[in-house]
Amino acid sequence: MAEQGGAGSTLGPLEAEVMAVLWRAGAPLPVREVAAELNAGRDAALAYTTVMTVMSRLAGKGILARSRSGRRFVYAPVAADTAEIAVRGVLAEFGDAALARFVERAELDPGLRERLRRLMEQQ
Amino acid sequence: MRTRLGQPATVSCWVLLLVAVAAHAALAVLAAAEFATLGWPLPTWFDTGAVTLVLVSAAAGLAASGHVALRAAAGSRALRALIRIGRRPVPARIHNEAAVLGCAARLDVVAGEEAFAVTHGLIRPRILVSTGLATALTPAEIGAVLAHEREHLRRRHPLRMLAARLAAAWACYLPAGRWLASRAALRYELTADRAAAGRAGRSVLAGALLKLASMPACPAAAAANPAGDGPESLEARVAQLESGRPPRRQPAVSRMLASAGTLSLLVPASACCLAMSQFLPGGLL
Repeated sequence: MAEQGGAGSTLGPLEAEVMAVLWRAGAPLPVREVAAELNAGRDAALAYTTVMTVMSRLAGKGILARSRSGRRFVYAPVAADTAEIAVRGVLAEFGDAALARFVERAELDPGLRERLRRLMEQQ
Repeated sequence: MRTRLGQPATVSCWVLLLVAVAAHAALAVLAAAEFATLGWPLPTWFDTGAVTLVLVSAAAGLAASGHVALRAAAGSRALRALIRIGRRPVPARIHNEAAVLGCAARLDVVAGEEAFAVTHGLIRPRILVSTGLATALTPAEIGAVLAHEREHLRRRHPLRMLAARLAAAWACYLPAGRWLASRAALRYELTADRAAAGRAGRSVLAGALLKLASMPACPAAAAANPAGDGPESLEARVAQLESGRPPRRQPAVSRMLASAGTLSLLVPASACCLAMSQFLPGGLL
């Protein structure tokens, strides 16, 4: 099972490199810039599509957040370090198994949001 | 303490489900003994089909329960490993609230900008929160979240939830089983919410819910969450905060019909399996 070793083992080697680039950048980056950064110190350059595949897989796992900036997509890390990624991974994988979570993150629909806001304002 | 309508009905549903699971397991042993003694196929195709159905459905139940148990074990192992790696000193804001509630000794904090709070552990449950909770919420809201989790802790909800999921997994051929388990999960949340609202106030709890539920959904978490347990559960919790009473939830008619359909096959099959046992060396049960 992938999650056994804890923090380090939730990311593959290339995934870890991608995350390191994004953490260093401190701002959302498009795939092209991440690929350029990765290839800067590399003899055999990585293909653009390889980096794109890795980054969309990270987005699929909820480790990167993808958003549109102009005509292109940019990616930003959701977690601040590998320990945090591991926490998210365990919660995502086993959240339903034996945990009682305060509240699931969800697309809060506007109706519910409004009702909660009204409750908040009551005294 | 407010009395809750529907409580006796739910308890009897659980008793029925547990009795059904136990009876099913016993019948499966009988079915296996019949095949072992009388050979396969049995004298008539009807007997063969009925006894096979009992055996196959029990095997499916055993496999599904085993899967749930293994996942739960893997989950708590992974979580313990994480706490060892990612543990951080408890931020003062969180510690103060936990000390007031008397759960500071059962609290772990791990690094994480994302604010979350969970109760985990079957025998000696503990509360796990992220450092992000201290920055995302006001002290009063942290108190509400911790009061909610402390109620899960005190009532051993993770253990009860696992028991419910094991029973529901065994009865995977009954859609009503899953409904009962998701209903139990919701009931635990509603119970914990009442404790938190009683402690911190409704408006504070509403604020904590609003802030934590508004964070963007993690796609992986959304996929792992069993269908219909997210927004629907939050809706019921908001309804309880508004009215001060737990809302009532009706089972879906399709589920009830599907469960009745499955039972109408399994019950005659079980009767047949029982009747066949007269041909066993030891005679009828």
